[in-house]
Amino acid sequence: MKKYILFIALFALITSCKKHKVVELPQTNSPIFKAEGLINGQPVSIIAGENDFEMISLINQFNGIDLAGGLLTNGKEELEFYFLDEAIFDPNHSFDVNNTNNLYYAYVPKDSAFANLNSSLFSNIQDLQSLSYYVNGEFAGNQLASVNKPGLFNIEAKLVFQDGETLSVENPLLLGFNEAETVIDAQLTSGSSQLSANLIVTGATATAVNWYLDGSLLSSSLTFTRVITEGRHILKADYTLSDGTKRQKSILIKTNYPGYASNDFNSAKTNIANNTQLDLKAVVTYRKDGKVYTSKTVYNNSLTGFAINDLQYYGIDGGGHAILKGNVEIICDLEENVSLEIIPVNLNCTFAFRIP
Amino acid sequence: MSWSDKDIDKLFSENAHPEVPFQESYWAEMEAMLPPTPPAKKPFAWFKFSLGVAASTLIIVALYNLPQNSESSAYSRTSNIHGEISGNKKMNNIFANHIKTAAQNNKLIKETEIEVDTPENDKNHKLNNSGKGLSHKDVISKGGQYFSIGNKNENSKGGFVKGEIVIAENNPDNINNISIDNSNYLYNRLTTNKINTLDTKEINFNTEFPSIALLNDVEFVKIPSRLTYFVDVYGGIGQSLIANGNTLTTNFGAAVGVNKQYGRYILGAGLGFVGVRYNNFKFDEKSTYYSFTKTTYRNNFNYQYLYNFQIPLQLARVTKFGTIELNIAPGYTFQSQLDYEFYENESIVRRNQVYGETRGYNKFSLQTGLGYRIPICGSWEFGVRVQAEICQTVKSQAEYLDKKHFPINGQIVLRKKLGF
Repeated sequence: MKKYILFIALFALITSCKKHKVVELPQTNSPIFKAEGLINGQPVSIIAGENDFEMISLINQFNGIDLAGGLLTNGKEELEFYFLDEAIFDPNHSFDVNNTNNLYYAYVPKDSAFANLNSSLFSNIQDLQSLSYYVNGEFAGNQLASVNKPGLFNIEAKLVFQDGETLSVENPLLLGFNEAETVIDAQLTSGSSQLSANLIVTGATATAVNWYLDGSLLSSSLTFTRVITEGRHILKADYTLSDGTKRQKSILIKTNYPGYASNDFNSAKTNIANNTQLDLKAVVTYRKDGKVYTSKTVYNNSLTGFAINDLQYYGIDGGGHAILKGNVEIICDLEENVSLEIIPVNLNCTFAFRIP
Repeated sequence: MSWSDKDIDKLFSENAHPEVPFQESYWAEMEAMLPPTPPAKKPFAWFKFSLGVAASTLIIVALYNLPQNSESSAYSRTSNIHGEISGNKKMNNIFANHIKTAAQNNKLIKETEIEVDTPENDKNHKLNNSGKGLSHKDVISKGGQYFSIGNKNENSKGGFVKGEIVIAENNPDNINNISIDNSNYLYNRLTTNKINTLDTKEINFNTEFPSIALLNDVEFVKIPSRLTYFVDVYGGIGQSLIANGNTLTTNFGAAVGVNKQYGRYILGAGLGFVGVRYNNFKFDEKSTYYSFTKTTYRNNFNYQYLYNFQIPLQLARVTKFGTIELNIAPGYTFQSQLDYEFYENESIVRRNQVYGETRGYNKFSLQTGLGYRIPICGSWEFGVRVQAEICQTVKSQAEYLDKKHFPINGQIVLRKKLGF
């Protein structure tokens, strides 16, 4: 009996040895992200994982607008594709993976002013001594400045009055994208310090608004009438529209001067800005040998569109962002930004997109 | 002519002293007394004859002296007799005649084969049964035939005789005794031997006195087939063909089991444990995973030990030279020890010992082989065997190295037979 007990004990000892786990290797797979086809008639095969290429999903900050994007790059050669997956000021109007017929390449006219900032924006300010414009915090010009690209810009006008007072008026300016038109209607009564204000929204409904006078909350009603201290003030409305977007508008006012008010810079938009519709548009950029080719400056008509097929969830990136994988058919022309050479592109790609 | 007691006494007294000269007439007389064909069965004739024998008796019996729990067969026995004789040819003729008579009387000796040798220092010492002279190791007689052994040279100081008696199969007798009656002048004792083993039993005959072997009452009993148990310990070397370059392996193990014998055939089954030490049992596992970029992964396995359970099944045949067995052993790998390395993009990430990993090969194995065992002492046996793995191969689920065959092993085995 002792023999059997010893044998069983030996067996138990052997089988109970601590077992260190071996790493389970992932199943060998085929390349996932790639672009294959023709660029300027030459066959191209860009494969993430080969020849130092990697796929980078990114949020492309296009002049303040977040675009879903993906980049295949090895540092020497790059193919970038990004698109606006929704209308900027209409989140409900989003990218429809089942219907890409309305998706087109963005066309951005070159060397064109999308906004002209000049003194006419303050034509009602009679005692203005000097005016300086700043775009996204950078000095853009005295009296006169322009914005030559689409996007969302923060326009600041620094004002110096004849009595020496200085004030700044800031307004966001969206160029090349649709948005609901919003106007602050401020009423000042002559001989008094009474201010009445109303927020007029066209194309949407304001669901909430906070009025600030020189940074202090004044009212949370859509319209209000208050007696304010005499002098110049900055009236700002922070509001939320029925589509969920949040924006703000600011104007300059002065008590006792009914016509003493600036506008909110919307009048600075040019026709180009108004006619350039970049919502739900895509941009392709190809870089090689120091040259940059882009679809932005080429008018690719609707017949040379693109398609995103089989868009599906792929995973979470290191930053916790959802990554989508989609098959993209790219048929368009690209223009080299220096030589203006235009080359045709016909690619079938699988890209990773990080959705904003 | 028949022998009376008086004749035997006279004969013995004449030959009990080496100084008695050899006389050719005696030799002729002895030959004349030997019948040309085996006599009819006379159970007690030899016994009557032995009463007159006064010389010392040499009894040569070959026994399969099976240890108490070893395999045995009641119907197939081979016993060896080995002894030395001395005296003149007359006495050796008497000796041979008695062996023959004993065999005939017991019906158990299917065949006898007696070899006669002579001392190296006595080249003139010749034995024959017809006066023609025999060299040593000549077969004098086989079963069923009369034979005689004698010294041609009466001055010889002795001879050497050894032989083998193959006991008839299917002996209906149910007795198991060999009585060796040394009822001679010298010892006058009775020795009883059990024939229940295949072992050879050697009996030295008296060399100082004329000897006559007398087989008396050789009887058998049928020993029923029964279960016996064994414990094996074994070890050996093998040739592993799995890795790059052939690899020498060492193995060791133990097994317990049970045997059942049917005649000369033995069926066995057991449970064994085998450990195999590998010197170069390496293979790796690779994968290339594409996502945002490409990552290569590699697991390196360098197996040091594999431990297997086996169920050894044996079919053996007992021969007079040993036991030959065929075996087949299904097995299962239950434990391992290996050096493990994990690489990511060919940079080592982890290195450690791993236990229990059995990836890369099938856990189930099947070994088959051929073995040979001989008894060494008591219930111990020593054997050798060669085994080949015919089932276990390396899996091909990943990118392993090339070879996919498992080793051929050579082992030595030490077996202890047990009984409860």
